[in-house]
Amino acid sequence: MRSGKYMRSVRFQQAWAPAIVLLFAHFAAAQQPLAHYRYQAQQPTGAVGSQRLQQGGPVHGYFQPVELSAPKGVVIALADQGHWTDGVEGNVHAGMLLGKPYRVQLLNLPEECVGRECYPTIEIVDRTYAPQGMERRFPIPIVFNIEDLRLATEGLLVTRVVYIEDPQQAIPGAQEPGEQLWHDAGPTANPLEVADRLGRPVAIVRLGARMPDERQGPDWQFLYGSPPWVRFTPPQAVQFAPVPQAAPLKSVRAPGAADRPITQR
Amino acid sequence: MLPSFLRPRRRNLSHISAIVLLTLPACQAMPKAMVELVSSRTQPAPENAQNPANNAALPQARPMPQVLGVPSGKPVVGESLPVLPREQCDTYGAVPIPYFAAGPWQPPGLKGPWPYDEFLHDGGDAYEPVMVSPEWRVEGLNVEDTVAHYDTLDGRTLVEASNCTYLYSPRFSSVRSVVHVVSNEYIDNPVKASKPVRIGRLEERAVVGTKTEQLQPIGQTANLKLNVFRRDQRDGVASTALLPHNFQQTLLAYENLSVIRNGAMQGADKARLAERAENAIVWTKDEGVKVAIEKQAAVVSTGDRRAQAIYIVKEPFNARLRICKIASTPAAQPGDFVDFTIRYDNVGDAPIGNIVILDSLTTRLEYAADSAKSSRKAVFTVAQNAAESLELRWEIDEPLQPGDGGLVRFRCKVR
Repeated sequence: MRSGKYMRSVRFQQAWAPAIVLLFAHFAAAQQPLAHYRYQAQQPTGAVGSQRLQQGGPVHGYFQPVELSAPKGVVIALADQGHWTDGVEGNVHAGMLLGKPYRVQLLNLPEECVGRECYPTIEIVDRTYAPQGMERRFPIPIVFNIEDLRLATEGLLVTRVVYIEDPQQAIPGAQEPGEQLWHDAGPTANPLEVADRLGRPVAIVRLGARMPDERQGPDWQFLYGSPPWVRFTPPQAVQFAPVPQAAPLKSVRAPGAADRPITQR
Repeated sequence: MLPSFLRPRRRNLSHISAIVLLTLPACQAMPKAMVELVSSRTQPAPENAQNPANNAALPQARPMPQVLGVPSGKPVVGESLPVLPREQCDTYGAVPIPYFAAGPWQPPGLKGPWPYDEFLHDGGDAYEPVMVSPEWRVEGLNVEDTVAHYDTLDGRTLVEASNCTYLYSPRFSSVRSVVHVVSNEYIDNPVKASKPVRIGRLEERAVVGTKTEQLQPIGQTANLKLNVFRRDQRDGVASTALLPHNFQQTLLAYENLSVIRNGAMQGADKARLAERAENAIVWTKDEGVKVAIEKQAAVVSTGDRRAQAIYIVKEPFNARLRICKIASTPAAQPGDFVDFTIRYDNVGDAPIGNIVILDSLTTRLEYAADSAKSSRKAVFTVAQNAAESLELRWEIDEPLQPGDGGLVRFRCKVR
């Protein structure tokens, strides 16, 4: 037979033990960093996207609209069924599957680059949720600038993580159409983690000096199995009607009602 | 606990100052109370009871106000637009969001547009509520807030927040990392290693031992004698009087038991018999009268609890400002221009004055210079806010009579 004091102590411990556990769990969770990405952007192409597919959501089979843009004169081509399609000079609108690595062919590079071609890879790691009918109007922009192409053709590996800015942490600077704000994370930082802290990563672009076989052409592994993609037509610019000028309101003041002073300040 | 819309919200207690419920309302009486309360909020209060000083000047039947944007004949006074904090602005049906853009899919249980990083929010009063100090200094105006504060005849300064405006405008940025691919070639020379292994001789001699083990018999075999002898057939002539007269000579289906067939009880028969005995007990249970009513009337329970009385006490000078904000487009890309319109109306029954409309723009909205316009005479000023954007401020010069309203417009460029 237990004494009453002992039983009260046991009941006290039973009542407060879960609260204490939750309190320490809260402290433990609060000490975790804001973003704890387990993945590195330098991982093999397709590794990060495949992990995203396992997290669930409406990402399987969704062709994310993507807009590829390059400097003037550069021809962009995508692989289809193991062969390069006809290159397009200018922006290319396409729909790409999430988690599938895509190899892109860039021909006719500017003179600043060593060589005349480059073969970057694109990996879509997340999608956008545009309103109905506006999916193609807001594609993920993949911008190949001259500096990246020059570094890649010189033998460096350029990794660029495209992310959606958090509006609360957005950079105050203006962004013109066709441009993209970016910053350098440094060689030691994980750009995927940096992008995850500033927003939501949606695509990883890797530019390197890897070239296909000169005699046999691109093999199946070089094209990552040539995953399917959809070519989209460029969306037309939406023109909004100008807002009419504000007209003065008619006086609805009751006749005879004098303006009474509200608060004298 | 009162419903959410019955609770007083911050300092704005002018519309209903006190609601006294003497008894707890029952389920049948609560809708009636709601109807009375809502009707009291939506119907214009008689002015002669609140402001007797203006009784002589005001006509009994006021003309219907003609306000821009409202069809003629539609009452403006008393058509209240509930303005809720931002976290409650996303309730469908409660706040008419003019341009509500929703994605094709969003996780269940979430309210409002999703994901949040693809939408620009503007309007409402998020985080700590906006307060106006006695020195007329506004505190608590955060980025993306749109509020208006005004003074009433009884000397109070009230704050009203606008609704939330959502603009689908995701902006993409990128983080770059350049890594030198170092080519390092090295050859692992085979290391010459000599390890002599001696052949060791191991001699083991096993002594043959003798072990005697006595094993006990674990079983016993015995010849069992026949102890039961049953003879089915008698010697001699078979008896023809084994069965009684007029007895059916074939076994019935339910008699398929060994004890019935041949008189030998088997294990399965016990279970079958027990089962049938149990069934027989159940089947033969006498069902008696469960309830006997002997000159006792049945007790009838009626839910006639309801609110006994509802007192609604209204303060004089029921002043209230309604402010509504809309955008010209539901979606915009960086570089596009978006026009915003803020509509404010005096939906109370008393004049208000010193109206100041404040709009703190978000980071990605850049105010277009000289684009602010007002339908009433106002003083427009701008100031830098914490998000390196601008804080727009309109000070309406004239007091606003009941039923009066106005518009302010401005244009922003999406960064």
